[in-house]
Amino acid sequence: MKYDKKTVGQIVKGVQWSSGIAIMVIGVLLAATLIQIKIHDPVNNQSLSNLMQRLERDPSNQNLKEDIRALDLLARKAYFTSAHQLRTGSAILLAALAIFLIMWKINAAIFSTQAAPPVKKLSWWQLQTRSAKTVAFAGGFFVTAAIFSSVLLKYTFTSSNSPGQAADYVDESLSQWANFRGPQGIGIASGDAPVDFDAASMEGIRWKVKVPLEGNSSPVVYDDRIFLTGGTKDARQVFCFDVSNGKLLWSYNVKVGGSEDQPLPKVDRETGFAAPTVACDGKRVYAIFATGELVSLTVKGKHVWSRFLGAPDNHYGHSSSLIAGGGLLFVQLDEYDKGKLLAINGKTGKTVWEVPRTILSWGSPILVNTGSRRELILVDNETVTSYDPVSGKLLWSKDCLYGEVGPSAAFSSGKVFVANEYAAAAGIDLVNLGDDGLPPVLWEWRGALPSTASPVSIDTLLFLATAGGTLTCIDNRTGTTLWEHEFDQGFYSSPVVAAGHVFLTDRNGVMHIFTVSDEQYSHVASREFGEPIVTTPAILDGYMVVRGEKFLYRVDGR
Amino acid sequence: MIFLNSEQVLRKTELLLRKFFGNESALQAVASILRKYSFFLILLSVTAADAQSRFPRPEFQSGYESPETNFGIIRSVVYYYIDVAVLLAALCAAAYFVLKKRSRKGIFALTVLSLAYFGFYKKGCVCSIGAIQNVTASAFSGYAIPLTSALFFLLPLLFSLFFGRVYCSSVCPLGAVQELVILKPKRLPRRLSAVLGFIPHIYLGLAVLFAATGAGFIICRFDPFVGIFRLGAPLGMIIFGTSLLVIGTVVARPYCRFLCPYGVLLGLTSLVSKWTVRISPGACINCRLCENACPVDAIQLPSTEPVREQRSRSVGRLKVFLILFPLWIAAGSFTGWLLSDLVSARHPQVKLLRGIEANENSGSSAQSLEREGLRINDEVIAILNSQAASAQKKTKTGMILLGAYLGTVTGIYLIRQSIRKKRIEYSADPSSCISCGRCYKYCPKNKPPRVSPKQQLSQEERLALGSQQRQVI
Amino acid sequence: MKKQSEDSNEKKTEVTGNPQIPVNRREFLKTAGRFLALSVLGAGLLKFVKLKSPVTVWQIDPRKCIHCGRCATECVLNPSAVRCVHAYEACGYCKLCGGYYRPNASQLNTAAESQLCPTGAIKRTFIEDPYFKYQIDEDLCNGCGKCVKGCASFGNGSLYLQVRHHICVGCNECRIATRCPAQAISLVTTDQAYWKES
Repeated sequence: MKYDKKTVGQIVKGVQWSSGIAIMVIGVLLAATLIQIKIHDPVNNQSLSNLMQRLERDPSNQNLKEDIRALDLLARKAYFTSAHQLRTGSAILLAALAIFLIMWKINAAIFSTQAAPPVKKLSWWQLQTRSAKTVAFAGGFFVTAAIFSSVLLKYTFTSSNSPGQAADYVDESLSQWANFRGPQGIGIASGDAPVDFDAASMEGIRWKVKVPLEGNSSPVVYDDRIFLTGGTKDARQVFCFDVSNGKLLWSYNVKVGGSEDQPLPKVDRETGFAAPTVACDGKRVYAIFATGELVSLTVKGKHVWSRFLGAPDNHYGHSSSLIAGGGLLFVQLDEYDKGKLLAINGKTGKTVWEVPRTILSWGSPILVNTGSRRELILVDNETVTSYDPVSGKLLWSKDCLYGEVGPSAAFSSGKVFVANEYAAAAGIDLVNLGDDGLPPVLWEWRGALPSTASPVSIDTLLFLATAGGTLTCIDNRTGTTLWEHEFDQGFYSSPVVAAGHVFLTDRNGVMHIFTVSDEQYSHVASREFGEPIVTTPAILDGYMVVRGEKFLYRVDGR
Repeated sequence: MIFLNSEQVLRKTELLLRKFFGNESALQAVASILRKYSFFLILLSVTAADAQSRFPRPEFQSGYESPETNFGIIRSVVYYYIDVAVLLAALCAAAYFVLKKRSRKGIFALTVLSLAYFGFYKKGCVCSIGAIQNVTASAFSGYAIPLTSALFFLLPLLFSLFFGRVYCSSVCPLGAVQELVILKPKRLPRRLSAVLGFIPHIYLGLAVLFAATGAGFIICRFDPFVGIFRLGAPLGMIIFGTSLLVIGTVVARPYCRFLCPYGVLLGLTSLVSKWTVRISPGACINCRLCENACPVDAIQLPSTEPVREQRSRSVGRLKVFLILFPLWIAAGSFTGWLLSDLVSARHPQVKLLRGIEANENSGSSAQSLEREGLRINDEVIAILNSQAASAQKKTKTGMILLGAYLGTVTGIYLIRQSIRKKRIEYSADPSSCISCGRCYKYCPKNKPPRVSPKQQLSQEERLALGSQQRQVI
Repeated sequence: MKKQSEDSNEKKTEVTGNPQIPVNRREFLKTAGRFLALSVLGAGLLKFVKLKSPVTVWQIDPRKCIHCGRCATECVLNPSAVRCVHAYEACGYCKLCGGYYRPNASQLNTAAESQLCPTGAIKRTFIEDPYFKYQIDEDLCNGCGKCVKGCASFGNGSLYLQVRHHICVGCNECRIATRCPAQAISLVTTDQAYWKES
């Protein structure tokens, strides 16, 4: 048998060409089928479902039924034939490809030409150097590009929704409620608050969400985030909700401080493990629990630092809230014998200053601006004491309390007011100092006194709400009773003043709203939340955030 | 509603456990126990469900017997071991053809067979390249690897310790499909292939990272050729595979050289391989005929120039590279740290969480399936949050390590470029040679010159032949 | 001719003249490296890798499945390896079957406008009044799960989706599993390859 190289070559070439053309044609057909299926998905046919909808409106239309049956058959046929086409088409394509390759190889075998070895132009060293340089350059380029792009990304990221810098003092901002009882911790809101809403029908309530873990800490609002804590003997958690929709943005599980097997402190059922309210400085949020775990998280929920302060030895359980200002976090840690007040660097978690405290209490610090300076004012079972927030220096201290002090101090136009059950209410003037250079006690008042709810003072008035349900309005210049009102239920939640109204929530969850007035109790509304409330609402500009026993509400008003 | 009750019970328990334990490993331990006993739970709930099933099974008057549900045949475990046996046999055959027989034809035939079996018959799964991830996942998480996958990972590596990359030559289906489409291989510029040669390291690192953090098996996700083996796949897969094959006609084996993560491992083990491809069966006569033979540019030329000439310069450069070495590692780790957020954003839990967040912010219902499927509530989100946070943390560590690894590879590459090994003959670089056997054909000494027995040789010719052979020895 | 042989002789001396030690050293290093690699592989595998002898397959947990329909579209195979399975033991043989009829079907007949299945894969046969048998033609089923949804919400849940192992190619990473919104697909051992009634 004699092969004519040329003829064989031509045949092979011909086969190769035709298989090549076949590959092209089948490829195009397959692509077309694929696109067709993608566009008119026969199984989920739009026109079929349109017809079905028409049939639903007109169930007895026989013509429509016939149409549907015809179209359905068509669609199913299209589906199965297209699937079949795809399968066989790709098999044929593969076979054509194999023929093409085989022909190519035969062709190459027939007309094999040994390639001439390349002419070397560069020496070995030059080649090596060149590739080394290229690799080094490429590596360097990659690193630089990565740095550059991530910097760019970070920049655009932070500029788009920056949580902002840590605020120095959050005093009178409309949009922040950065700690217990809002700006300065004195229960005065700068914004307006809704009065017309109904929690039962959800009218005027923007949203209502369940809080995953129980706790008596009040909500805190910073920018568009709500922070609060929950705690049981099993877990202590910090939660962050979205102000706009109540969505839980993150939760942080606080790690057990100290050793694992150490006993939990005893806490009163009414206090719980998460009574202290968190504080936020815009960049970080701080939370403390009855177990003595203090944690700092970014507003996005990333852990920054945590400290274990030891469970405060305190028979109801630790309940003093945190407050932050001037880059410092103030922790009132009152307990038997070894209590202390800490100022902690918010960024690092290191103690900046520390002063010992000898007397027990359950109140929270307030951080007020007297006009000439800032003072950090604390109450305890015997005294009301003021410190310089920068240095921790004791500014003044007055022996005017008694009992087990829960209510924190109130502040208005340069005067501080304190009150506690079994003791008295007292007014202290921080502006017109006495002969000894210390603030004088202006007056003392005895009557129905609060045990838990803090007093609130606005202009010349001071409001006291007791656990027994008595509300008293006092002239805060003289200490004389202006009026009194009795409610059915007592108060643990502290009153908050906003835009001429006082918001006072009783233990059953009824929020009483009345006008600030020196003449009489002038009722505006009573709004039921339908669950017990012991926390203090956060009032921002135009809305408030309320935490009940189980739920968290945002009240926008009707 | 057969499954609902048991499902509720299991889910409730799981959620409770998650809440209680918080950490995954403890959970996994309990989950395994649960799984063990879930059978009883299901049994219980099925009987309970029977009683409250909406439409109880009717009592048929006509004597109707309900048919058994046909579940079909499940592939016996034996078949999986047959796969391993085939792999072993193919590896042995490949080693025989490459090293003993030195037959390109044998290698080619085996390539076609392997493509048919591992490719088109087995549809590309399980493969040794993908098995990297199974091994990694098994080492880092609770995932238990089937023995067959482990063997698929191990056998080619073991073979390469003794015989070089024979797996690549004719056993690997991905290599085989590329091998068959090589039409006119062109040499790539050295600098280009040097830079592209780093991609497999990155790919390997990322694959290990993803598998270790439970973010998925990216090697399988981006496998270019399974779509071809299965005659159908998502469009992206087919486009990627086809374009690689088209490129593969002129740039031989693009996946093997510039992507394959398993090739990195095989390249390493082949460095210490006992026997590797020798272009010439005897001593090389430096005829240069094979210089162009290698489709993957693995042939190293003998050193012909005086070495001393540029010695001082090269020593100087070596010093620079040695000093740069730790800097590369540092730069690599730093870059890894920088890019870790980018990588962890691909983690399914992180993605899911971000998706839910984005969805809630935009108010669209795009994510509602996940919301429904995972019964997402605040509790689940809290769990997701902690999972995502831990994934991000792990990814960060992983990325730093990956960066350090890439820095090391770069440093070593640069140092190696400045050290010259003395070579006296044309040889195949064991770590990049894929043992395809093409160079055998080009070596004039591979087979003794075929002389037909009838042909009478003149005295002179016989002498010449003799001297040629004498040269060999 | 002679000159050439001289040349090659020279080369030969160069070869043999090369000191033997580096070659030996290299060999030694290679052997050491080989043993190192062997021990690393062996030790790594024994220490860290959790082996499991039986083979695993992908399967859907019907308790988690929300019949979203992605099984039909996300599988690497076309049609998908996921098909609907009918557990006769759990079936109520209802006349009005939620898996067979469209929610608003006006007539309980086998006409196209009444059926839910887009591919017509469910066969309905009369047994005795008022019971009907529903049978799935697996060759027509594409795993879209429409009937499963119907049966789960209006029936006993006897229709459910399963990965059919004679179709499934057993990808290392199941593409549907990565896309499943309920994370219902996982690897199971072959003895649990299908979800069955008790």
